[in-house]
Amino acid sequence: MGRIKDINGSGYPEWIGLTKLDIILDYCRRNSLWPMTFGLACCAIEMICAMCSRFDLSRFGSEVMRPSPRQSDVMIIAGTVTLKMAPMVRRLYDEMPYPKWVIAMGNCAVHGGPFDDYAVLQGAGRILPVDIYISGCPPRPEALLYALMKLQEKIRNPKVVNEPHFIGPDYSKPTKGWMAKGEEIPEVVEEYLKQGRGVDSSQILE
Amino acid sequence: MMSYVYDLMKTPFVLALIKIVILLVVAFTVIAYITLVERRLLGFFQSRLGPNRVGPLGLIQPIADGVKLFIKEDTVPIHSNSLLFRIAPIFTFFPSLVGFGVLTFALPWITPASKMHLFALADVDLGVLLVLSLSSLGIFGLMLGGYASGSKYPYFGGLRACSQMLSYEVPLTLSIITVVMMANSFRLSDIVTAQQTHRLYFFIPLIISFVIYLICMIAETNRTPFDLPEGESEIIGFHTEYSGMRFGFYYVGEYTNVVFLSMLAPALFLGGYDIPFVNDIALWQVYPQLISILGFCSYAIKSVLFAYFYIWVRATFPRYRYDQLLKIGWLVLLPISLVNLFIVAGIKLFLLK
Repeated sequence: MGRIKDINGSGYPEWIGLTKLDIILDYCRRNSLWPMTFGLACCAIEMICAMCSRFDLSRFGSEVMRPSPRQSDVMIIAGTVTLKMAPMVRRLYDEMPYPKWVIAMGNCAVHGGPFDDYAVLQGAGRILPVDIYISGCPPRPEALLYALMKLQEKIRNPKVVNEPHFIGPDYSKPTKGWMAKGEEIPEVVEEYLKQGRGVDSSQILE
Repeated sequence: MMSYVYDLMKTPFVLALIKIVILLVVAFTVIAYITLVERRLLGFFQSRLGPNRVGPLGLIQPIADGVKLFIKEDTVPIHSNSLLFRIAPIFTFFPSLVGFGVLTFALPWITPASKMHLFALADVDLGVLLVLSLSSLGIFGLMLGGYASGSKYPYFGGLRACSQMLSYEVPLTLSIITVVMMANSFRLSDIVTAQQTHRLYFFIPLIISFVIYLICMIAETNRTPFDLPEGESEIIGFHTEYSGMRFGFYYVGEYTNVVFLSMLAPALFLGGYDIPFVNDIALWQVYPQLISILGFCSYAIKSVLFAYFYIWVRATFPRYRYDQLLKIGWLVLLPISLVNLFIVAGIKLFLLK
């Protein structure tokens, strides 16, 4: 925890440590990141491994997987976000109470990965504000641990977002598939974002 | 001035207030740290480490969790019954907290001025009945929380919680009644005194009641393997819509119940503050303060054993299916506890006159 000595020049004794309330609150926030149980594809297996005995995410106090978005702090998008799932991902993100963070885990969640086709969202960052991107197919559990530590660093000091390793994929570059035709955000998802509610999944295949 | 304060401190009302403050501080600390103990022990059971980064040995983890829950956004769903939604968590939390007031923690403390102070807030005559009625009041929190969420899945979760807790309260009560019959009193300190005078802890003659109590206390607090009301991962529980500190109240309320029932169990079955293999009351007349302190330690150790049992069971058993749960409650535990009640009553009437 940080310590600011002699905050207003009034000469407190040495043994009184002064600090900002925000520093304490951020300390508590970053040390109790409860992830949402949200496995979409094979990256979820690595996420489960990160919870288990060899890697043990619980050391950082974030093994409390909450099944409900209302009680979770960080959403780990572990896997391929298909267009059918994308509105639900966004909806679950909207249901999480503030303050909330998002980790996009794996190449699929970062930029669609190998699935440059009609059914897969080309990166979760197109529909939600992602805080940390982890590359890899799938990433090792250590990478998830590293991402969690980076997220803690980000909560402690928001300035680190300007550092090079916090820069995510460039969504302005065209991809090879159908999304290259100027359709950056799929219509169904866009419609959801306007209305603020879920869409009929039958529309997505059309 | 100081003598005035000293006189004021000796009045019963202020003395009770001081006792309440001490009890609350100790109880809240224990409740906060049992979450950490559980997470670390679960880690050890699964050959992990558990939370160890936040402070030395992870000791600041419960504080971090608590503060985070306090400053988290508090959402109230638009379809919810907003008043009930707001007050429902209090119903789970406070009844179990009131229960601590009935417990007696040690033999009376004798001051140098030879005045006696009970190690209890209120050693009421019908302590056991009060405890049982408070634990049935705790159902309201779960039921109202599920009902007021305005969503069908929490509603089902609340219904599940209600029927589970009702069906397990019957065997729990019946097993406690056998203890009451053996001790001839509803007062918790009398139950402990009866075990001290008989030089026999009740879990030996009442072994069936003891086992039923162990099963029912897990079901009563909605812990694994009976945590269907919560049902985190596959069936949706009653507190799905709760966020922030309102969820925290449910979370803390569950652990309050755990701590309370594992402090009640030694008083009923393991001799409470009795020190094993020692004639307590005779020694207490010689060294009153020493025996009071040692008795308190013995009570604490026995309670820790029960709390450990909770965590051990949680790490060992998978969750029951809902029909299995009700079958165990109504078709197994209820008949056994009824027969046990009649047997104990018969023995008490005809053999132990």
